[in-house]
Amino acid sequence: MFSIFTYPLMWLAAIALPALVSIYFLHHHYRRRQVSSLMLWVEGRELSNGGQSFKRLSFPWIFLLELSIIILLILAGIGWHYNTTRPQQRVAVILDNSISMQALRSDGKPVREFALTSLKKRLSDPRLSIARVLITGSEMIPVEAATAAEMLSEIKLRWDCSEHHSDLAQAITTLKRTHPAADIIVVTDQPPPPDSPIGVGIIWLACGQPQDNLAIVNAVRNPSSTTHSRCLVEIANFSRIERTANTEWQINDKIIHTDTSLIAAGERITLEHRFPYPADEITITIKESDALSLDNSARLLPPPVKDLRIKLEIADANLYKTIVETIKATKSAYIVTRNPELYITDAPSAGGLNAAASLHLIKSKEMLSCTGPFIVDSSHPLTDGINFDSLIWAASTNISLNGTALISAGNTPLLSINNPNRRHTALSMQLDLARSNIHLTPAWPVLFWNLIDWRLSSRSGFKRANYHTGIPFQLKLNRDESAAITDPSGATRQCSSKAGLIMINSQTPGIYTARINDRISRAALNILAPDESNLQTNDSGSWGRLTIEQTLEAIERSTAPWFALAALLLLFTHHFLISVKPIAGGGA
Amino acid sequence: MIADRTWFREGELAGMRYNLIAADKILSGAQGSRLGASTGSSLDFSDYREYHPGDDLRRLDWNIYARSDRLTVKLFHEEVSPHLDIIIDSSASMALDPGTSKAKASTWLAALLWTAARNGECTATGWSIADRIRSLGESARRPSEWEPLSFEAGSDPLRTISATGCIWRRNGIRILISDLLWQGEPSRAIKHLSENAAQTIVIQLLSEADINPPPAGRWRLVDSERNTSLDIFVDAATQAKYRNALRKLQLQWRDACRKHGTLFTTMTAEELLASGHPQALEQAGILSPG
Repeated sequence: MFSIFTYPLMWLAAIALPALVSIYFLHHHYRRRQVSSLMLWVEGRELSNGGQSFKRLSFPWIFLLELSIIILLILAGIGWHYNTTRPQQRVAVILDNSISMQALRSDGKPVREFALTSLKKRLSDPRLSIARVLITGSEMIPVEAATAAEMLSEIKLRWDCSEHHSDLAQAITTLKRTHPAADIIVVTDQPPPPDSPIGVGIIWLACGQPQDNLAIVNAVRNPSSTTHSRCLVEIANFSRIERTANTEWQINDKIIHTDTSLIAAGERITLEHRFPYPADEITITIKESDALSLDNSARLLPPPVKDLRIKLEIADANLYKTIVETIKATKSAYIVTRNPELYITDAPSAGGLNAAASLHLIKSKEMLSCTGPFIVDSSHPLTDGINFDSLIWAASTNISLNGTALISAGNTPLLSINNPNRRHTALSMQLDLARSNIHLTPAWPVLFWNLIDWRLSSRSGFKRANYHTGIPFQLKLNRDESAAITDPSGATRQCSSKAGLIMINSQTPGIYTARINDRISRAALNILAPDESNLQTNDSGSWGRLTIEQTLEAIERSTAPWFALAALLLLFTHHFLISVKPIAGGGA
Repeated sequence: MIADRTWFREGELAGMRYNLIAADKILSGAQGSRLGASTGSSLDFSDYREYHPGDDLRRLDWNIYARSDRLTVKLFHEEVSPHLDIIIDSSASMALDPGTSKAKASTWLAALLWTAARNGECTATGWSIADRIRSLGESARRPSEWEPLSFEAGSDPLRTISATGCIWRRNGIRILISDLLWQGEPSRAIKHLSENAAQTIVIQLLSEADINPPPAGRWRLVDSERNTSLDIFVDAATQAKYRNALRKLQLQWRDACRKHGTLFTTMTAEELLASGHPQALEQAGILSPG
């Protein structure tokens, strides 16, 4: 209310109102006395001071006139402006799509709903027109619509607030570049950071509230085991006070275990539970209700079993034995005789074209031991972590390997990769255990670990069993494969990809199922975003101002001169009326 | 406002202690038991004078005619019963709000004078004067038996006297009791009042409120008779001016009375009622303790 005046000192001027009323009251306040006759008093009027019959302040006309003058002066002090033209300003809107926007305010209304209402109110200004709307999470999603009403409907539909993070600064930078003439309205739940460029042209509209929240901020499950399951959960207390977290552990909707933990304000605790048997889906739930319920539960699936099928056709018994022992040591593959995923042979002619990949081990009597230097394509997963120090690799310059060399000794390729028809990947490697020490060095198991892991990663299906927000949620599909993906709501959609990877944009937590050629791959998505779960820093308010508001100050005209002029006219009228008004009362 | 009859009775009681003193020249009136100032038909010799046509031939002194051949008439004192007309100003100013000191004092004084006149073997009649002159009753009626005396607003006694003229008994004594806060020239009123009167006495009866102006401050003064008001700021200078105006008014009346041989005196209502003695009238020789 203090700010209704352009000049706060006008409050002092407003005191004139009660002062005037007081003057009139005092002037009308007199004592009454009956006298025998006024004839003796009439002569008193000739005195210059006392005895002069005072001119009664007539009510209400003179009073109203004086009151109007003061009110006009006060109105002049308020600093209203007017303009004859209505300028337009285009605005670009950035909507924070982070999860914390789903938190409930103290009135039970989601922050998103409150923010949407605030945005509607702000955009109801007829001077504003929408230039662009960006729903901003880890990436920016533009919203297109023909009219403002359709735009708001589209925003309501697509603004789901499901991202673990929102890069508002990047969105501001982008809009400044793409829409330099537009003002920017940022709708979020947090106050602007200290280094944000808030000011004229950028409005930061925060709609959040600092709230207490218990959240699961981390949840992991051990690698696949046939004997037990082990889970580790981290719970954070984003509150100002110490709180108790009651946690339920469920396997297939059956409560197996409960925990009660006292967590200090702002602290985290780690809960670990080991189940002495393999389990399928494990759900951990915090029973306490709070502002953000999404982060109160986590569902964990067992990691995918590493069981690469490898077929060996190796004539060299020593080599066969070495390879078999190496494969067993990885515990990620097993030897099969049919339907392999990897075919390893030392036959002169490479076969195994029915397998997805093959490794052809080539041996020659002309081979010489090479100590390097080795040229390595370190970008390929097969070469990851191989130490070539003191490594002796047998090679022959007369052997030509097809495809691209991954490891070479000088200009002699030692390991190459070739994709003749993209359905089959052929690896070729010069190898003679008699002239090499590679099988005696750590490079050997590393190479085979890389080989098996690389082939496992080429399998179609979810790459991980448990995802959380903030990491790419991907489904691997091989060439010409398609998948039917069922999300936690039960909706199924068909998809295929030539690129091999499908990004699943849904951020709904739960279990996702992909059916690929009669094989099922499952993955769990959890909300594990400590920054979003911490609602203590949230706030409400508006920072910055529109360019149009500053511009209007320059082009709009103040109403003060008009009010002052009207006050002056009334002042002259008042003076005229007072000067011609006869003395009230009078003698007998 | 109607005058309370108890005020009259109190005045009658107070008047029992006084006699109205009639001057020599005022002894005229109906034939009575007292020698009048003019000649009459009593047995007391008064004077001689030459005969004028129309004189009673029975009063011719034939002895003087025989000695000096001049017609001389014997004059005898006239035996009269003097009359007093008590004229009470019944304008509204005599009954100020709050308090009724002037009204009470005027009625009390009128009753006292009536009784004193009776004690002095005078007849007396009460009159009220406001917008008209009205007799309050026959002379035989006591003041407490007079017609109701009401103090009315909107009256102008001066104009009433001028318009009505002299209706009182010739050669009588006339006493006017009023605050004299009248608009106009006093001489004119005195002239009409004292016409054919043996003696006229004007008693200015003022209240403390008339003598002392209100204290300093803002006042709305309301005229008791005209119902007009004056909003005025009163200070010491105004008070002095008011007192000066009052003295000036009294001086005008005093001069006018002196000019017409009328006795003028001023009394304060509150003092009169408090003391119960019309000391000013005693000092002026109008009343004497009896």
